[in-house]
Amino acid sequence: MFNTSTPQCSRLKGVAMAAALLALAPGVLTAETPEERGLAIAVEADKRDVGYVDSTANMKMTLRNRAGKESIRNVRIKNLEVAGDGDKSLSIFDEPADVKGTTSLTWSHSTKPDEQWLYLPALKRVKRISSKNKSGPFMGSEFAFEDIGSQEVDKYTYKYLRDENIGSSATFVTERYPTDKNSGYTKQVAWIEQDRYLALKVEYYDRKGALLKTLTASDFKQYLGKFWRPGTLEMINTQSGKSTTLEFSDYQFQTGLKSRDFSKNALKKQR
Amino acid sequence: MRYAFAYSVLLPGFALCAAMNSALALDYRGNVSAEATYFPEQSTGLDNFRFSSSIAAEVELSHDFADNVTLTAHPYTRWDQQDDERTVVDLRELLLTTTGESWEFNAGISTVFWGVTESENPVNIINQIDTVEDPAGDTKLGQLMLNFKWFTDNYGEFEAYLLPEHREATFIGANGRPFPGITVDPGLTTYESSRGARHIDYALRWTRSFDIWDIGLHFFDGTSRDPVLTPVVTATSAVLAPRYPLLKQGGIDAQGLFGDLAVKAEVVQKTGNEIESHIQSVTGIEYTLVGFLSPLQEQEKIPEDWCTPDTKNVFKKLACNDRIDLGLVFEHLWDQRGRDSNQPFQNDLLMGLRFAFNDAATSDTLIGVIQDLDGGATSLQIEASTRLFESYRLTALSRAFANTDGDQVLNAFENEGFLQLDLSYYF
Repeated sequence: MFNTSTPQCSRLKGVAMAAALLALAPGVLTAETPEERGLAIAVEADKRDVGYVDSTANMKMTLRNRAGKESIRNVRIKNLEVAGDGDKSLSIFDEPADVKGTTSLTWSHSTKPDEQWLYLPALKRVKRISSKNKSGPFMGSEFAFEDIGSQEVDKYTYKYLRDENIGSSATFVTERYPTDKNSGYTKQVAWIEQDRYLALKVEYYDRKGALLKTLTASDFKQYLGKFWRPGTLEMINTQSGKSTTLEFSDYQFQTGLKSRDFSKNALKKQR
Repeated sequence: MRYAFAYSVLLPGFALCAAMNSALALDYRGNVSAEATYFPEQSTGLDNFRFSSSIAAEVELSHDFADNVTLTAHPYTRWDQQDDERTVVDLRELLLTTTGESWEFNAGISTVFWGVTESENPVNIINQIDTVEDPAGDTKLGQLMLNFKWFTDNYGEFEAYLLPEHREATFIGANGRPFPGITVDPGLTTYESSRGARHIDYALRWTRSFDIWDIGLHFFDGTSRDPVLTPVVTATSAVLAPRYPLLKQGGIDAQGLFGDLAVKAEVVQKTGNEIESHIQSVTGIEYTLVGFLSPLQEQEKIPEDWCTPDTKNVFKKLACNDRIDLGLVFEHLWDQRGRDSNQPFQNDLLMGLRFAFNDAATSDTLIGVIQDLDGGATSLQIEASTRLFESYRLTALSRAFANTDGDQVLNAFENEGFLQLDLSYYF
């Protein structure tokens, strides 16, 4: 969760793996279609994040309306890499104070629907919730659930458009089309940095095909000499004029989290 | 005072926590709230007040003594202007938790939730309902327990409970509202068990997920949480005397999630010497429409120029709001005893609408109607809440009752509808 820049799914369909191998062996196949190239870029980005094992971070979320009025949320996030499937993630809400202790658990899957639970501390109740809610806003922000969820390769089809520079960074510009019919988007356009395979910018197009939001990722840092994470993500809703900034701090990797820390029962004990 | 030892535990507890807080990290969450209630109609009760106010405070403190040992304390207090029975100090939790690889052991006072449905939870038997705090039954009294949980990878989760002390239900006092027509006198409480409240109850539970299904089974053997109320006429007045029979309860709770549709059921069977053996159930569905107004814009049912950020017209703004989720809840509440049941929902239908506005203030609105299908009462509830100044939440709640004439349990509630405002500060 929240690694919006680095799709991370270790489950690679045969076709995806084949495409990746071909893409990494230039000269073997010369006639690569834009679709194959787009997929190969996504697969490579995914591959570069394999092996992070687990991670924790603090996320500060700043919501801004058109008048510039701000509203703050603080969330602690924990991720667990799952070999052969989508990742598991926990979000523990610290602020606003009225939702303090509320915790959500998501098991993302690459080929079947994600599973999701919510713990409501006032009622001591764990509620299983629908994971079909892709397009709904996450905590009232400009990020939808599908923007912050684990980005599996299989959740989109791809098309490479062109090479383009953003500032001094050379990027691949690719389009991706959500495969889930519950997605709020018809397409996304992503600018993927060529050196590190990180998404620097993403444009989201709504169900009517109009530009809805623009995401900018910055302040990337490398951890364990391998894994890149953004320090700041800014989502601007170009239709409503509202925006949301996510600031990540205190990233930790390979902290020793276990599968049982991401169980339904553990959900009640997160603080 | 509900628990005789509440104060004696609470005060040293706070002192201990304060001392620990200076040296060690202490997690906390809590709130302080002020509530004002207005009753538009005169009551049939003793006191004919139309306005009541109340303040309350609670805090949940947790401290990890070691990696696997946690102490949780959750004191709670309320002062009520009118009803002495609602002025209380209590402990919702005072619990020592030890955890291992695949097990958990809890000792102390705790609150446990079992169930899947929204209106009522017949399987949720461990804790006594705190009626004076919340007549809808969502708030529970802390229960003294020893509890062991065992988690397996392939066979689900097993839980065992030993419950050494029964807690009496709380009742609105003679000076309280909504007044149920006749007062319950807790001084006249009797038990079927010769050990009274000290009868040792036990409970077993197993839960497991099968793909989209979550299944739970339970068995309970002990003192009923739900007293039988018998009228007693004294020289000066008539009151109800609560009697707690012994009870065996077995049951199942299940939820299946089919995309946005959740199918839910809770069924229990209760048997005992002093109660008629019967089945009680809640079955229903919950369906969520994400951004339920968004098709208006997407399918161009409304003019495009309505939906610009500069639109001031409230109606146009609402029609353009594609962020509002609508949850639909339908549940059937049933009790095999029918009209002989001691609870109001023997054959009732709940229809609920839950609006989540997904705005910066996390505003929501819940509208619920419970209709008795045997010609009894209609109960209406509307609840709306929103966040103010980052750490406050304002909640408006209204309950009203109609067609109460033919309803055995709710017939006294005709004039007890109310409007309540609650402002809570969270920390």
